[in-house]
Amino acid sequence: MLQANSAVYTSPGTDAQKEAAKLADIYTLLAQLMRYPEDTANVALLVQAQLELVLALGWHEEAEMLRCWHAQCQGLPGDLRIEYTQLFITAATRCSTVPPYASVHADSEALLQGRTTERIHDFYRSCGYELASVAEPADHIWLQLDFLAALVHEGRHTEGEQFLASFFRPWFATFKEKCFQATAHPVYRVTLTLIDFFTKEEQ
Amino acid sequence: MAMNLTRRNFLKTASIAAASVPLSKVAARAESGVVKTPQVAPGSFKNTKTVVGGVCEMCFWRCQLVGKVRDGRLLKLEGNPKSIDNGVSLCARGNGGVAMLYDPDRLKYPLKNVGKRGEPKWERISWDEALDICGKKLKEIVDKHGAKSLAIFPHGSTARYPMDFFERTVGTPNVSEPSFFQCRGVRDMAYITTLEIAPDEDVDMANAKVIFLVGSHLGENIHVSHIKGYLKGLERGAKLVVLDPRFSAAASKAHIWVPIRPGTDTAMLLAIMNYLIENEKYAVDFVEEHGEGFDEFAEGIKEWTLERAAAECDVPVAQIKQVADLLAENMPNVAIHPGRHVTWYGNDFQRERALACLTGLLGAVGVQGGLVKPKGPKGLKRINWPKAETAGEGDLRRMQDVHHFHPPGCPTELIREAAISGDPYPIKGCVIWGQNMIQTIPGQDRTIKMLEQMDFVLCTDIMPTDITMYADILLPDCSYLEKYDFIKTGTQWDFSDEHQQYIAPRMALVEPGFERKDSIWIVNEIAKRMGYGDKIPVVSQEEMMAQSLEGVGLTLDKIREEGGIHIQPGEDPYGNNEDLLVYFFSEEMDDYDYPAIPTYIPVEPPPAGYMRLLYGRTPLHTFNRSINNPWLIHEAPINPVWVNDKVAVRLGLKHGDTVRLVNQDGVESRTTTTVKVTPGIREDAVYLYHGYGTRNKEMTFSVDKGVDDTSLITKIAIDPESGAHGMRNNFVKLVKVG
Amino acid sequence: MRYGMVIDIDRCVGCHACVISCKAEWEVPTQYDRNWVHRLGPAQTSHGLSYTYYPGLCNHCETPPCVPVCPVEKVRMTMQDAKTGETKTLEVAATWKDPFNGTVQIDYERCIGCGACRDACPYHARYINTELADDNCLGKADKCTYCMPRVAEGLEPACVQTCLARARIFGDLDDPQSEASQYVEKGAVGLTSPAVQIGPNGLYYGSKKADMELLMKSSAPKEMPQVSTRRAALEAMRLAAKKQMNEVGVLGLAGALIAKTFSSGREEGK
Repeated sequence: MLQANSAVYTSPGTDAQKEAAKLADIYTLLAQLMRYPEDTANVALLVQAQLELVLALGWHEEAEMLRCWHAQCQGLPGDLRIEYTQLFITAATRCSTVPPYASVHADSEALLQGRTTERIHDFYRSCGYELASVAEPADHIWLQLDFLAALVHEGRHTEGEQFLASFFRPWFATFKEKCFQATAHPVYRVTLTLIDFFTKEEQ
Repeated sequence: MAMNLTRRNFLKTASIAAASVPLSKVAARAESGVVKTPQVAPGSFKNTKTVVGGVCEMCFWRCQLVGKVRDGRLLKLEGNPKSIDNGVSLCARGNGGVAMLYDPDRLKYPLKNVGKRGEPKWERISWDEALDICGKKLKEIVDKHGAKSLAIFPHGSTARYPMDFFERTVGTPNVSEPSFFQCRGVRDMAYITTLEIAPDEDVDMANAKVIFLVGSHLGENIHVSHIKGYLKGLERGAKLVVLDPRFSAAASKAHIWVPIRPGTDTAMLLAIMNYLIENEKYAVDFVEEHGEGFDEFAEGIKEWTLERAAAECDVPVAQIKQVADLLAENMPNVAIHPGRHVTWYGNDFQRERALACLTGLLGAVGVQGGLVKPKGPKGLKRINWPKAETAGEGDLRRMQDVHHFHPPGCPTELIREAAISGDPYPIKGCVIWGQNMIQTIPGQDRTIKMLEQMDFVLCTDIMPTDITMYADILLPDCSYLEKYDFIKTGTQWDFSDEHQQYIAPRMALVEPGFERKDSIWIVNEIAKRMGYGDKIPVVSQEEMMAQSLEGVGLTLDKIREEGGIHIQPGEDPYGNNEDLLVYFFSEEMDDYDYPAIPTYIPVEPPPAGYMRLLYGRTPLHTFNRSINNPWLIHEAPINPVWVNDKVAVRLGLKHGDTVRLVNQDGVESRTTTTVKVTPGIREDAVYLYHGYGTRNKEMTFSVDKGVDDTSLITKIAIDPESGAHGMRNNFVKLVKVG
Repeated sequence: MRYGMVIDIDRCVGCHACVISCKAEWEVPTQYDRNWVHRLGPAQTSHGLSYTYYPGLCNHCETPPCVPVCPVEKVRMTMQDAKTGETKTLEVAATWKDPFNGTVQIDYERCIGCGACRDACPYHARYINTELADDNCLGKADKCTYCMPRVAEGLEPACVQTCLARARIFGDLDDPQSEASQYVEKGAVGLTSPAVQIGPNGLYYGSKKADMELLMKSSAPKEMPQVSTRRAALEAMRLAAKKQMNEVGVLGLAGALIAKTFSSGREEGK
């Protein structure tokens, strides 16, 4: 959904670049998992990819949770859609939703389109990216992950790290914690754990 | 959790990834691609675009706005400098529109309830799916039971188009607007019956010598240009008289505060009029020229001596006389305010009739300071859905031959009663558009019962208000800042200024975002699916505006160029038609067996140990509509209950104590509030700001804050003439908590 | 020139628009206020019932106690009179009183967020915005600036512009012709008490004795707050030391430029 207006970094060369492309793929996968599960075929693919990633990481507990869910799940994407709506959009009778926008968690105003949204949007632009659609605020988590994927894909790791440190990590921990309080759904719990793993500061 | 593997290790070793991102390389590329964002907000005037054409709808006064927009993000709203109405001023709510726009709790996508009605479990669905369901369900109901089996509960400018569609083209008579049946419809009908004038709040306070308010707490109820006129009048030396059981914001500015016993205003008005007539202190010539049935009226109110009213109203004789004399000395330049929210006791038509008669008695019509209708611009085209031949069939009011002086639509209680009982016919589909019926209509359990028996409930709103919990399909509306849907017109507010008129069409200040849609688009799509595609009057909101403006030779672009408001020369509003009539005695009312002269109908006094529950507005909220606004709720987080200081001592309550309210039927408030101990309220009443105590957890800024007064209004009174609700006939006691 | 704000409580209807417009104008976080409206009463006074309002904001005092307590190292700063172009160079900490217009201002770059100025104000006009905390500060002190950046552009302060009652009169108290000065003539007074006499330039006018009595009784501070300047000085030293440590660390860490500006714990400042 993010469009680059600078040339994509395509130098074929080093292993590092190929590996970066793979990390970019992981970010893209996570971004897709944080979008509303609209398309049935695509959703099936995404949850399969998620399971494989977890298996590759050797996270047996998470893999088991996902497998259980895969086995019990009655009809994709209905199950995920309801869960996504409850968790991220509107949930009248549960313990309230966790809007997936940075400004809601980072700014004390807790509004959409806050100062954080503006800064994140500015950062995208300073890196040569613009939102492809204005329907969602720039700081929706899937847009941020998509942006990270794009940066990493281009090999712009410095900016990627700057983005994580300045804009992503400061709110993600709170967001994840709130989500964990609000949902037991394995797909989203595991997605958030994966995002945490792939975005946290390297020791 | 198997998190012993670090990301670096994983990327190095795992088969699907490959090696880690080399940090050394990251560190080497240290150039910064980012400009440091200033930490301090630069102000709404820096690097922003001023977008014109906003028309506020935080309340329904509709001040004209400009937006300060930076990069698509609305930073601030200001009064439009071109405005001759609110000018550059806005109230707190108007200023708070930004926080409404960006409230994360707002509805964003169409939702389908896959859980229970009232305990929803939402699934986001596509517009196509949502509209298909709406079209199919509504059509099924109409096909099975007829158009009359739909009940429509609209509110605000967003709801006009859908209301017209269902009322005119589909043809249901069961349409009930809270602005009529829970607010000001009684007033308008009583004045029309008396003076043939719908008064709105058109009293020329700016040029009045006396401003006379019955329960209108101006200042707590804020409508910008109205308050400007009120303050201008006071600045010019008007004397202010306020009848209110509470020392309200207006009472605090009053020259005479009358702490009247709740429910007895009509008695005092009758005594004032009787005194004025007996002492020939009324506008004799005016009454002779314009009065109808004056003698019957004078004769009929004779029993209302000052003494009798004093006893009834718990007001000294001298004070009633003082008020009457003040009015007489300053007639005809007296502003007898008709009020706004007047559905109090279920006898309100008579009180409003009394106010209109007092206005006539003092000759205060069409003169400086009196009831003066502004002469606004004419010629805007009204675009409408075509009226079906069958429209209006099954009118419950007509079938029962009641409430002959009802405002437009059907009295709410008749619809609710029919829906619950199924008698005289089933009402199985419900369309709720912009109205939170949980907090607008008393008797919440009955509203819920009505909804539970429906085959289909559609709600459209901007917020997940309490009523939206009962929707099967919940649609996200555009707010007033994101659409084109209303043309505000009017004149300058001070008639002693140059006469001018304005036309201010509402224009979107920002894009709607998410999947919000305007009501014209939504209704057209539903109409197509119900088989009314050929009846659609306009294809879009912009076309609606264009067609309306065509009537006055204007376009949106032209008005935008003019700064968002078109201003043209106006007309002197003073003066009366020769054929103006004041029906002191109404034959029409007599024909229907209602009291034909204004009549005082006493209300039940509080039972021992209880106090009358009064409610009103805080300047920070428009009922429950704005309650979740983060900025506004922060300014006024709860609605403390006002208790008289002597009563508090007797009850052992201290300022700040937490209490629960329990009403005469044993209904307890779901939440608690704190006590405000004050000498500024009578001993027989308590007072709350209305609109608090939201139950829907999805309203995260306001849920459970304060107490919902409507939940305590379980005893229902109906005004016989108009069919409007009366909502101040309930009594409460306070139970200390903790 | 001495900017001042007169509030005519006869005109004020207590609508709170001033508060909300300020929030929007300066993006003031919801939980903080640069200005406020306290609803007073209805209460009994020696002149009868009163129900009035205390619309408050920084008083830009003549002897502001918030200025001398600032522990930040002073720097030479040249200030200019907006009207005449005249300049003056002063040694100032992170907050000072402007020699040309009398307003009290803050240097957000150098403020360390120690809170000394906040604690020193008897009117509680300042807050520490901990959202702006970073490695070098605990947040930033903030308060009403009399909208000087707006005034510089020829605009009225946001609260004055939006006031539907024209109850806020902003102007030069040194100019006897200004509407604000006329109000002083009429009897506008600051919220002072025997112990608090710091020359507030925010003044209140009301023709009703009951209202003025309630306002003064409820809202004029009765004593000057005690501030530990030692604590503030220690805080300044601690942050300076921390800053040095960080700068050493920063050399090897790319991306920290932004990180240290925006991230790192709002908790730290709380």
